Amino acid sequence: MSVNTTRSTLAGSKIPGLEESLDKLALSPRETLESTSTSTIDNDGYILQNRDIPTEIWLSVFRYAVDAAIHDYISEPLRMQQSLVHPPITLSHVCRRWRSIVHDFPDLWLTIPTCPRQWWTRGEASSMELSRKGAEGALAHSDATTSTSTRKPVTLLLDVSERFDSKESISRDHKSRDMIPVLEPKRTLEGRKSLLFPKDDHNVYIFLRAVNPDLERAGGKVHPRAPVEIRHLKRF
Amino acid sequence: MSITIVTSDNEQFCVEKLVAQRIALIEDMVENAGDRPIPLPNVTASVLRKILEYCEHHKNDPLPPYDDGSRSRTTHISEWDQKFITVDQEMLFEIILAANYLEMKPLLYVRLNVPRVQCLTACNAVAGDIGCKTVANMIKGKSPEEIRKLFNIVNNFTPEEEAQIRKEAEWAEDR
Repeated sequence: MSVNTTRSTLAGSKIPGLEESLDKLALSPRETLESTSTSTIDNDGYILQNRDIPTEIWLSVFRYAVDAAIHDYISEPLRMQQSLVHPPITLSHVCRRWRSIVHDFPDLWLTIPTCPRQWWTRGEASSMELSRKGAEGALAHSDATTSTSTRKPVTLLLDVSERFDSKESISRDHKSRDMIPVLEPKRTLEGRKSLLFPKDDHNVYIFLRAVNPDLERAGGKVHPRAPVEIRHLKRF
Repeated sequence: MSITIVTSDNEQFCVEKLVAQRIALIEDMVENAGDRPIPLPNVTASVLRKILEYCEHHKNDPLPPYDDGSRSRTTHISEWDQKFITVDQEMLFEIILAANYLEMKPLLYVRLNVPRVQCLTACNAVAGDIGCKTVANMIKGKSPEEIRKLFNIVNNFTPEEEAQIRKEAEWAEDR
């Protein structure tokens, strides 16, 4: 029985507030959210029990999946480093709709396990580019600008060791391209430090320099003692 | 005191008010409806039975804290909830959808006048939340292809998108 049928059936009833409640039923949360969610999502990309799962439900699932992967990564970094596939990337490779959802919600990208070997192989001074807008750089990010998370700072949490003796970071203004130091250059790293990226719309580069020249990349191959302690990015 | 709920397949459920009030949508309607049955046109009897089982078990629980999305989420599920949610995939998603439709959010947030969009963010904080955690656990550690198989999802990327995805996958594997 549809809500409208119910409305007709009960038309003669004088139940205070019932009409309003029926209106609420007719406009379910699912419909409400779909109308306010991203309108660009492609709905024909999947068949799941013949049901259309609303965006906010997938988003909730994805948030749990991402956080669980991060939790596992922190708990068992060595095991996870062998099998880690960055969760938002994996989710965005499933189908067009999931890709749209993952790309439309930057919250999913704010906690990012780093890939130490990749950093290492980028050179002596490894860098990572975080682009708050647009999908440029090694880390593909959402280009959504509507979410409140685009206005939140991103924090880089590093678990580091004696394998690095300094870090330098700069923030490059997205428009002017001016390079602005943002964080303690040449500071000795001791354990986990959090680095706050103070402004939006900046590309931030983190440079890590190896303390021991023996650890530097030789012949383009990954050094067997390449760093393993850089773990993840996390929003505060 | 009890209330009567009518499902989409016309089954009637006589439910203790305390239990029914765990369901925000019903709680909103119950005072206005009086003795009249409350219709739930989007929920079948089999799904409502599960939802009520959950509400009955948790009827005396304190309301869960509001989730503004900033805290870390764990996929831990209590033993009873785990048993409750051990259902086939179809029922799992039906429970999630029903919990979403029924706005099974903590009523506290409504009373605190939290904006509706935030209430909706929190609306999966009960049965639906357990469902989402369960689906997240099913996804965990799987490749895109394994996820597609698991949920019968069609790979509908264009060749250009496939090329981009290959590039991204190369980056993800280069670690």
